Amino acid sequence: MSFPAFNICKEILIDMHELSLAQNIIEMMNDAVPAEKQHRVKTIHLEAGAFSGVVPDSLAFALDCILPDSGFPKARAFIHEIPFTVYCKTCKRKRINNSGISICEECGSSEIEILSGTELILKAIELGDE
Amino acid sequence: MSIVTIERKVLEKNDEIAKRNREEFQKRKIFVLNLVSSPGSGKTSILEKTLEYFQGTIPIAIIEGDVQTNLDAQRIAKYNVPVVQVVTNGLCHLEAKFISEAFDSLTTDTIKLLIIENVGNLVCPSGYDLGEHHKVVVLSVTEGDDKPLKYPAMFRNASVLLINKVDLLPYLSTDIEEIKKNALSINPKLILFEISCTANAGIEQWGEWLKTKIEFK
Ligand SMILES: Nc1nc2c(ncn2[C@@H]2O[C@H](COP(=O)(O)OP(=O)(O)OP(=O)(O)O)[C@@H](O)[C@H]2O)c(=O)[nH]1
Ligand SMILES: [Mg+2]
Ligand SMILES: [Zn+2]
Repeated sequence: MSFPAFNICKEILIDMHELSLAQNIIEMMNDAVPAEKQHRVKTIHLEAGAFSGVVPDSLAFALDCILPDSGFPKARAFIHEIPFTVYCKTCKRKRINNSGISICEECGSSEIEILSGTELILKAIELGDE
Repeated sequence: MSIVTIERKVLEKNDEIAKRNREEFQKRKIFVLNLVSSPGSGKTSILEKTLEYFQGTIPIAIIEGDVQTNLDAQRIAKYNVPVVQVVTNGLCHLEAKFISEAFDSLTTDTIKLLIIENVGNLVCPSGYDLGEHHKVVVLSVTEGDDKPLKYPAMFRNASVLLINKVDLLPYLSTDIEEIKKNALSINPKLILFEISCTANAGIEQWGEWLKTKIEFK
């Protein structure tokens, strides 16, 4: 009885979901900002949907932990929470739906389209002056 | 002061690898499922029953994901099917890049069905596309009927819900109709199966559904 086996992520010391997201965010910032400007990054704007599976406070904490040792030591993250919004094809209206269910809370129809609330997006970065 | 607009999904890299995995699976005509649930809902038991049901008539391979140990791969290896164990060492979910590595190590060209057992966790795996055709969420009746409402992301992103351990219903106050109602309110398109691995119930219906998907490819 033998089978191949892999060991992944030996370098991850804190076993936290949001930490791996924070590492992704820093990688994306490295792609977006040239090295000589990185120290000027002041603010990171993120959007997290109410049902994205991300806990904003944990993500902010994870970023606070790793930003000081990254190329962006002065950066602070702002996580904008995006409500779960659906469009009901029966009522022909857009609504915020706080329970996260895919049924129109007004008319009970399940003919709905999810417009927002499941996303996690790196929106923009603000750079201060030299 | 200046603003750099980025507007990129944080999981974009994972999504790109998942897309490549999916293209590879498509090319090789392999039907791929990503089995997710909280710890102990019966994912490995369902794999065992599925392998028993097909008895080698369809070439199946399994990728096992666990935080620690290769215990689940040991259970599967008894069935003499290709199996790989991915140990995440603490990480709470599988990512697309682990699957592409694990898949490369499965040396069989004839696979028709690949089932990935994700790490037992009803939260984190929901956001990570692995390149599968469908996510299959397992909920055992001992977990209670409110779980679809408490963990909506997983139920929203799944195509199939396997309600397991129905043999235990007589001993519980869980209402299975309530499970279905709650799950369908999150995702009206969910396909539902009621199963019991212990009593060998509902496995045939699940197996028949799998067959239609495999033959369809
Ligand atoms: N009564 C009953 N017990 C079951 C059933 N299916 C699985 N079990 C038991 O539930 C326990 C957990 O089953 P596993 O198959 O290991 O669950 P799992 O989801 O793979 O667990 P992890 O991989 O650790 O997340 C075992 O003791 C099984 O024997 C069932 O249909 N009925
Ligand atoms: Mg298991
Ligand atoms: Zn409506």
